[in-house]
Amino acid sequence: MRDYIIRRVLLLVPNLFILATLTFFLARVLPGDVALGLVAEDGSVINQEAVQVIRDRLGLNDPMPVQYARWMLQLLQGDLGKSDVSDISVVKVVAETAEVTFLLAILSVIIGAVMAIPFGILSAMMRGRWPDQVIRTFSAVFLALPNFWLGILLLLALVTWFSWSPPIFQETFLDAPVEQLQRLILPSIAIGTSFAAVATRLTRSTMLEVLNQDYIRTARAKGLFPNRVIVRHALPNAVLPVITLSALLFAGLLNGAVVLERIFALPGMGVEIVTATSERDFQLLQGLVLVLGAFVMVWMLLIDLLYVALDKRIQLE
Amino acid sequence: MKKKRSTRLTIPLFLIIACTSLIAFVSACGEEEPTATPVPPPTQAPAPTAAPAPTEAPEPTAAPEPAEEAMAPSSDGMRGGSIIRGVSRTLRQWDYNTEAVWFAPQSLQRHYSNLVRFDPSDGTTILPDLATEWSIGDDADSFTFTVRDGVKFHDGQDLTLEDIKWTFERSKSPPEGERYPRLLALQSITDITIIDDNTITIEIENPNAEFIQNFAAAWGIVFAQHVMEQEGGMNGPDRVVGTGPFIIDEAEMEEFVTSRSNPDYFIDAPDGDPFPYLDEMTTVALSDVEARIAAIQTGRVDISSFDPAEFAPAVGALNAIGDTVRMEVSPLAGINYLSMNANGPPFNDLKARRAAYLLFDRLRMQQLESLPTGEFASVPTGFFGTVDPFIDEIPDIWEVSKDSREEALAEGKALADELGITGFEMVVNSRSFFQELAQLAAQVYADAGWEVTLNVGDSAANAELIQNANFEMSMSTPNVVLPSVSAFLLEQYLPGGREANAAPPPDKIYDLLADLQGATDPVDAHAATREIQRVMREEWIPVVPMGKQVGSSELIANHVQDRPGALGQWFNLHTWMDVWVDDNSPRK
Repeated sequence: MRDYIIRRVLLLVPNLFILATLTFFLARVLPGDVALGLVAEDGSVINQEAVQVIRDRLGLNDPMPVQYARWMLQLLQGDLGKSDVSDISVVKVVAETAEVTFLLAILSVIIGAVMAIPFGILSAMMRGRWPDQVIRTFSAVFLALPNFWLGILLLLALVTWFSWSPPIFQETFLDAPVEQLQRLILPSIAIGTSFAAVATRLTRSTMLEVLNQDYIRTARAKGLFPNRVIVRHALPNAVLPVITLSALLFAGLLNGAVVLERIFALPGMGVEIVTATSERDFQLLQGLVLVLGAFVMVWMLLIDLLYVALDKRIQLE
Repeated sequence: MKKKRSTRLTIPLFLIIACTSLIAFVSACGEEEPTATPVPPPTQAPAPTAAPAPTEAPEPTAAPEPAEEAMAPSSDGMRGGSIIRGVSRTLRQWDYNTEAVWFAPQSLQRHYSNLVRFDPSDGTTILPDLATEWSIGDDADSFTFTVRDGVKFHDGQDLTLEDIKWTFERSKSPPEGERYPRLLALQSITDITIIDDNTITIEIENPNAEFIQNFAAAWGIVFAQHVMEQEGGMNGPDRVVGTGPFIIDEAEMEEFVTSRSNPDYFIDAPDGDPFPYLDEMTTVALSDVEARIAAIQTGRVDISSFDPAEFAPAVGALNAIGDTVRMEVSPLAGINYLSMNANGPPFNDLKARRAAYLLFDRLRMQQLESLPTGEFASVPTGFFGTVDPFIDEIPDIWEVSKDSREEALAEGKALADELGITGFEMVVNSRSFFQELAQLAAQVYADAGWEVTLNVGDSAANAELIQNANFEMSMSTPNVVLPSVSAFLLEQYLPGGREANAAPPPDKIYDLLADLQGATDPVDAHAATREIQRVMREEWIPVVPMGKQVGSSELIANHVQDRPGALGQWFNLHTWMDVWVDDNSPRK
């Protein structure tokens, strides 16, 4: 196990190098640059001289290999750089946005799982009967609904019926946990519901499969209570695919639920990445993608280790 | 039997888990009492789509009124309380001179003062600010300001004439690696001389009586030299030190800016104490239009600001919210026009530009831009938007008027046939509002027989195409706050201005510009302006004017008050000193 972890950690280095290189060159495929983003207005460039001065200051007039070498040298020194637009360090931007992104991802996964697992079990247990039909219908509906639209509907419903909307000021979870939860709950429900629609179906099908296994029949034949059969014997195996799905969703959410972050004015990483892209803030974009890449790689490693812990049949080697 | 038993046992298990999530949600929502939006006393009906009043011609040598009298509200405001304003974006840089867009002044301008300022109620009249008096030299190439005594920066240091001199020398010659996109005009300052303890003279390269308006514009603020020269420069909110009515309290870039009142502000309110009336003012970024509407509906914010692009949702929101909120519209100085690339075919030919100009029916465009309410969202303009002293006459000029439209169209078609032009490609910003606007413009041309292909991209991508002259036509929507006809000419259309790909002007334009800038009599200035417009329409045609959006709009809770009609006017140039909240405000 230790060797495996060390090997995976060491693999992070070339992976991050490839990611950094790809991000650097792909970002520059985009037309325009940050100088134009700062000085252009819709349909015209306000001050041509200013564009050149900004390009000089940021080194954008240097040949691309020189810019690349500078970026790599910077990374080797452990410096992720500063935003070309705001001059704030990438590390600070990550520190300020990571909490929102992580909390949104965690809450969404929890809400999704809390809905999906019981509904999936119920649906499997009552296969073909009306609760199963209802659950499957709703999961199909929520699968079809875009989560941002659901988010807007939730917002408008609360505003219209209860004159309530989420707080507008961002605070850290430690400083104001209730306010932060209030800000996150609607987008988390919107994302969680979409996730639950998939996960419910997955739980149902795996549960049905597991319930037909010999060891379940044996457990029942031994006279165990049905509740115990489900919770102790069927559920742990049925829930493994849901964990996989949750892990993938979590990794996806780290990159940001951009539209929902925008709608609910959540200063998360997704919004930062989109803004950095549209403003051609390459330094910020490269830094954020690299940090997120590292997060996701570490996360996938943790998931692999979790599998081993949950299912003894899985070997790391 | 087995089946029944398992069902009985599974349902409670499911209910427990499902109820847990429901309880968690309800408790999260229920922690805070919903903020009741107070029902205000009846107020005047909103006028969301009223066309702006025609801009008065500037009076270059008008004697200034005393500050307090000129800015006196018609009734006393109430002191205390705070307001929160939701905007689509806040600042991206602490030194807002370094960027071109107006999000930053929206959040930061209230902390600063200018030498002179625009009257927020009309956006053009010059009022005293740091300077109580000013005069323009006989040759219109120098401006002498008498500056108040006893003005203090927010950190307690006295404002000196050295600060003013340093500020405008910095604008004229920015430090290495810096440029100030909105202060291009100030680079024509040639000399700044401190005459005595209160008097400073600023000289410019060429005569231009209208130049004084640059000192009143949102970007023409005065900085504290001792702060700006600290190590690191403008690197955080603690460096936002001005002499304005508000002192920055707490701020997070791209999120919010909270300011408290400046007890030492130098302009007094009618009650004898200094402005501002409010104790606190916050600007918060709510990028999504629905979030801004929800926030004002639930009392999270007192004012929600909407771009022209969000005008229709704002009107819809007003109808939905009802009479606890009113709407006011801020006229914009900017115009929408179509930029033609004169560095390549087909618009390097005056005939092609004239065809494009004549085939574009501005009244039809206005009709297509109507709001769902039936009101017009734009007004037809010429080349100078609202600073055009003859803007009211635009619908009656030959190429626009309903009476002569057929003739103009026929001439345009004849020119197009002669050149064999059947259409063109138009570069358009990817934001939905601009795409919609471009589609309407394409429709106007389609009605006239030209086919327009839209090339949609984001701002930076389009800017690259335009900078490289790799386009035929682009839709330009400069939300510029250019103060005068001469500023429009210099900063938009003449070589060195924004329209770098516009056709070079006939030589006579330079003579006429000199006439305009040197005119100290408004009659002479009007005559020069008329002739400039004639030449532009007949012999130059740098762009095709489309129209001017009626303005950006504000949804304002009725407990927020100010001088009648002033709150929604020129909001982006507002320092908020004469705004107050009444007793119905939840933040009183």
